[in-house]
Amino acid sequence: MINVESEILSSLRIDVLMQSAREYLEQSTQSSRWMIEYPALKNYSLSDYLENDAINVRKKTESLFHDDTLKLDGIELGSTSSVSINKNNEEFLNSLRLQEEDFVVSLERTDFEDGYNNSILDFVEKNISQNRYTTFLWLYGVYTRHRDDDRIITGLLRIIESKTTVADIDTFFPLVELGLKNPNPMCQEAAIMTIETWRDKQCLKLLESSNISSPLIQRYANVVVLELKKELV
Amino acid sequence: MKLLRMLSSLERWDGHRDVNRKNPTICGDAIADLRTSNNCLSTWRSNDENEKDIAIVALALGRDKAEKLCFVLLDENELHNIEIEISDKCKGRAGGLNEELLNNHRDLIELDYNHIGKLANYISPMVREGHFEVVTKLQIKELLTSFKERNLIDVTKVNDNLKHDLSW
Repeated sequence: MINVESEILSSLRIDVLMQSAREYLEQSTQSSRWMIEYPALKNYSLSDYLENDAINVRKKTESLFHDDTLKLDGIELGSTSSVSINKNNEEFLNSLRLQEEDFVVSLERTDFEDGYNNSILDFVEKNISQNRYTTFLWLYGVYTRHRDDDRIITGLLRIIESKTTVADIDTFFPLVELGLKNPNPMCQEAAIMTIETWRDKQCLKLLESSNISSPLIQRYANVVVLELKKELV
Repeated sequence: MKLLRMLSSLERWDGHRDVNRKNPTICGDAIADLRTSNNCLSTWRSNDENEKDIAIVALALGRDKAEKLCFVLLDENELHNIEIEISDKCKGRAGGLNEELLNNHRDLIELDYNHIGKLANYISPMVREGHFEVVTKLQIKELLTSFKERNLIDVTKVNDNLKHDLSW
């Protein structure tokens, strides 16, 4: 079996992480998170940091912290060693893999209700708060290993709908595509909910051309298409 | 009088969830949407658009995050025909919603096995024939914001998960 997460992880470099940080800053809530976690940064422009490479980030910030590293999702941004970054991510990924069997069983047994959290979403949220990037890689890996299981695909889509933004579309678009192609209304409903969250033109196009198997879900799809067309077209 | 009843998920009601037995009726997962408490089922009075908005906001405030909300409108006369009584004794619960608006809450009361079944038999064809409504995530957020701006929601009493989701 191809190990998707390891392949991607091996290509991780500091410039990729910096790009990831830029994407975070595009969302105000994430900027707030930085401010809360690192109040000393208030005296500096975050965009200044991100215009520089990792070494400059370290130089500018190391005096501000008791431990002389700046971490983004558990990864040391100040480190120039991609080996150490990979090591951190791999350790985190391995810890997730150890829990994967239980996670999959729970996912199969969980009935997601619109608007409510559950233990699965709490588990994923906890891991995202520790290492967002690797958690998403792992979730993508779960998808590749269970792509024939409707309930797993539905559960993953419900997680993605709840925990991602349009910035994560490149990672999870194939899953949404698969969900819409699946004739099971459960999968299709979850895929449409993700599209409703992402509010993206490419997804709108995909939804418009999809064959929705249930009239009930088709009705929901129509409402979403109408709303997104008003907003995006 | 019309009463708004939320459905937790559309696909539970569309009949695709197989019940592998002779002469299956409405699937158990759909019945789970009619979960009672104290033999009561919570609904909200919804005679006009204004009351419908209040009902939607009340239901949204009871959730952890803004997500699509699906509902059916039950007719008082139809409920009377299947011998289901309506009570206005218990105020609704919706963290932060203006006290006066909580009076729009109505309970379907004294529900037993037989009457839950009758209610499911009433709701199921209604949903399959398209007599239901979907409120999108965006519409929910807009309604909540509008109620907040009109001081009809006390943000300090709103559930923390929802506040986080709405960045309130």
